Amino acid sequence: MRNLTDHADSINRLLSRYGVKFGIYKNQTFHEQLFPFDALPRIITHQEFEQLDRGLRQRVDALNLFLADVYHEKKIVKDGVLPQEFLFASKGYLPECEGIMPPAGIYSHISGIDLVQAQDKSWYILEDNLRIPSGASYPLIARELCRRASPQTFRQNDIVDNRNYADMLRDMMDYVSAPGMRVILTPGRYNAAYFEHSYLAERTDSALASNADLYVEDNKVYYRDYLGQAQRVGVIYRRLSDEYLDPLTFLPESLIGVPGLMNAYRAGNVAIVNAPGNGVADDKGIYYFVPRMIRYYLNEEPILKNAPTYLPFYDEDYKFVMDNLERLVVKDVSEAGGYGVVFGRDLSGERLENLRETIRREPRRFIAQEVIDFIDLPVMDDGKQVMRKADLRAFVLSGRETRVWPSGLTRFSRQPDSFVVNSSQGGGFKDTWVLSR
Amino acid sequence: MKRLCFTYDLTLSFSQPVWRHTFLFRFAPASDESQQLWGLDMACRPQTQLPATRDAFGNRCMLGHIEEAHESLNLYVRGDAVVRGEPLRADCPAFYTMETPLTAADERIAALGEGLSGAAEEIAMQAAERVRAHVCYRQGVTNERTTALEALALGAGVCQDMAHLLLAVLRARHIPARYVAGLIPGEGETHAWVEVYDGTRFIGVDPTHLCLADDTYLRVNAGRDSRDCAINRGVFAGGAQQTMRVLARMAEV
Repeated sequence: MRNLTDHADSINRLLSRYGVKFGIYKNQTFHEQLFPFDALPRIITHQEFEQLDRGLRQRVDALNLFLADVYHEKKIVKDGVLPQEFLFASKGYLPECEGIMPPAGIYSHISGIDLVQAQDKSWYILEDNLRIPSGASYPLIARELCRRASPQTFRQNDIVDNRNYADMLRDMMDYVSAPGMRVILTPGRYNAAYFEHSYLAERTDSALASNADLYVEDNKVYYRDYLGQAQRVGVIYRRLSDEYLDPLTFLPESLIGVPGLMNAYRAGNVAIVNAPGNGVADDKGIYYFVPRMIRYYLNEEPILKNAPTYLPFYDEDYKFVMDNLERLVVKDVSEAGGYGVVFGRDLSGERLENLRETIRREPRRFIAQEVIDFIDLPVMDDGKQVMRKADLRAFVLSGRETRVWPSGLTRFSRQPDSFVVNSSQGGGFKDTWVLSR
Repeated sequence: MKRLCFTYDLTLSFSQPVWRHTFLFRFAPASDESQQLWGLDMACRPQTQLPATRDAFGNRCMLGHIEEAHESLNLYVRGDAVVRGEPLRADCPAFYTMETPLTAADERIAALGEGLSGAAEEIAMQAAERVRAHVCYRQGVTNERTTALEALALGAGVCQDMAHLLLAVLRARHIPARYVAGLIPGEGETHAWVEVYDGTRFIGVDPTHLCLADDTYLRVNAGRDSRDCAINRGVFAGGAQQTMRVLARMAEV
């Protein structure tokens, strides 16, 4: 470890030189800031990873079956497992996607599943990200730099090589692709994750395109290269959100979308990674139902646990939430990136009352969870080792088969008492080592 | 049962040339249990391919792309139809009970639906009468972005506004209903009305003319609101002003 921590400064310098940055919006202005890297890795044992691997594959398979069901037969609703009003009140449900069967039947190709490890070492799922989960490139490039800074560390320890992420991504893209080339569609350099878009395009040998490079003709998508030559596009890994994707189907005022894309997609002439409409399955309210989905679609018991969650939508849970608000964490189902998360214990009497009132008015908008006392990991702070809360974003890729990337993004809070680790809230990250035995 | 012949002629004119123009054209009425179509002809100038797909609401839409600079776009459709004028038996997707931004309701709108009873179509007809009592027919005061709430506040609007308002009233009562764009005999623009779902059938109710849709109502598109049924949506390059001229014609034969 000494080897790595000694190199931490030079690695952070290299990260900054390579432009490994994270953009955030604060007070309506765009700032690009470094995503601080901590050289002490998170270590996941071989045994632990085997269990995570099975649990994550199971979860993502169930979520994919759920998405296919939601946009077609809706058996889960007809069979009374999920209340109808719950499904259709979800902002992530897009009626425009009804009846679309994506190539190979896969909706969530890249799933970012956020987990934490409790004090007793058991893992809990905090949330599923099935739209555009970002962050895989950070540990990927950090690992490369660490290997360069201290090659012996990786010779002496049995660490699973994680440099295959781009190959996994590319295999998946090829598997679902219609005839044509691979494209990564970016909203542009002012996006928070622009670094990642360009990095992954280079690593997967895909064209990095903005909407102006793409057009739809005869229900097929074409890429216009710098010589003005048009080439058919088979798969688009898009990094812009659903509502901006196609101004002819979604927001008409979108200037960053590809007009007609949804028609080409519906005709089966292009694959979109991830599928539009996935937001219905990673809605914080739908999260509550994922263990039920696993039982319903796979007839299996969930391997990984959800954090204990209450839906104020149900009378029983509503009462519990109202009575125990001061010890629960309340999340606004429509927010992401650590926004809209409130810990009851941080609120004064009056603000707690306000929150109660808000939940009373819009019970469907919130979920409440028990606060999991998750483990701290050692972090270097100004030369001293300190303990900070950390989570793990695991990346699961679904193509020919469902595979868990043997690594992940470990994010930690830089404030001593904070449980919020999101990069948009100023956290840092670590490499995640999975041991090979 | 009526035999009808129709034409639809849409011209977009641009104040200066536009290019890289992609558009979605939704005017291909389809045959079903309640109407039968044949001899559908379609032309587009400048010429381009118009491959069709069905959207999430079951409407056929044609996607066109014109790369070269042009100053106008003309789309022309003609066809024959036999309309039976009976409610359409079909399943009703759950999204027809969801409100949309154009059909959002408040207390005032909900109040328009209070105290009504009877079968779905009776409730819808009574609600339509109340809508008409609050909104008079006037052209030029609303546009395609006007919401049901705004139309009610204005107290005036066209068939589209009446339909949005009726949808908002019905959905506030959890009665599934959808927006229909189509043609009625005469000359001018397309017409809009509402179909209310009674558990097995979609029953056409026209809040503008305060009647049930009969065998002179040709359905072209259906959706949650006018946005889903927009006959033309397009995006182009170039800083031109666009003007649209529509001439729809339908007559009994």
